[in-house]
Amino acid sequence: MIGPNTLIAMQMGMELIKLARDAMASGVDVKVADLDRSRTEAAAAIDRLQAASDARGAAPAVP
Amino acid sequence: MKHLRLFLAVALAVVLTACATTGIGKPTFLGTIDLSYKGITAMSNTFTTGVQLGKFGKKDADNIVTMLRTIHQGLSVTQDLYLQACPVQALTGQPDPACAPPVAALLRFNAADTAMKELQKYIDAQIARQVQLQGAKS
Repeated sequence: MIGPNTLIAMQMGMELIKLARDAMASGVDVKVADLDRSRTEAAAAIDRLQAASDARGAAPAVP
Repeated sequence: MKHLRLFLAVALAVVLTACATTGIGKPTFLGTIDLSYKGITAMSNTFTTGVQLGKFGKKDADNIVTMLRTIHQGLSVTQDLYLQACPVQALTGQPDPACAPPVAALLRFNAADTAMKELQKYIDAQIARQVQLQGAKS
């Protein structure tokens, strides 16, 4: 069975790979519209984290 | 643990290879900001998973949200200041070598970068704590 730490590490790794792939697709230079989309996506991702945090409530973390 | 290390090593190798291939080592100023936004998205997604798996409590998650928002705002202001100073970029989407980032934009970017490093320290401390806890268990 895959443990939670491994899952988190896999997610991190996948995000890194996606990051590199996106950068390859867009090239080194970036269009302003793409930059704005990245800005919006980042803000939305933070909002999702806040929502997950709120859903979790004040319960202590699992060690 | 062995699988985890292996996976991270492979992921790192893929990223480093991709960076070397594409020349990401020297991105444009806006390219750097774009990669930073993507880094925020990646970190937020990772922590959302961590929170959902119960690895982080609400206090930890809220601290991370605050840091990520600070970084995001810093980058956002940096982007706006830079595009105001270098409108050719905004119009054409092409880099303007003649236009250097204004000092105010660089200062904001440095502040965001510092916040990013603080967040990295926080993550490292959390990981070290988890490793300690796991060591104490076994």
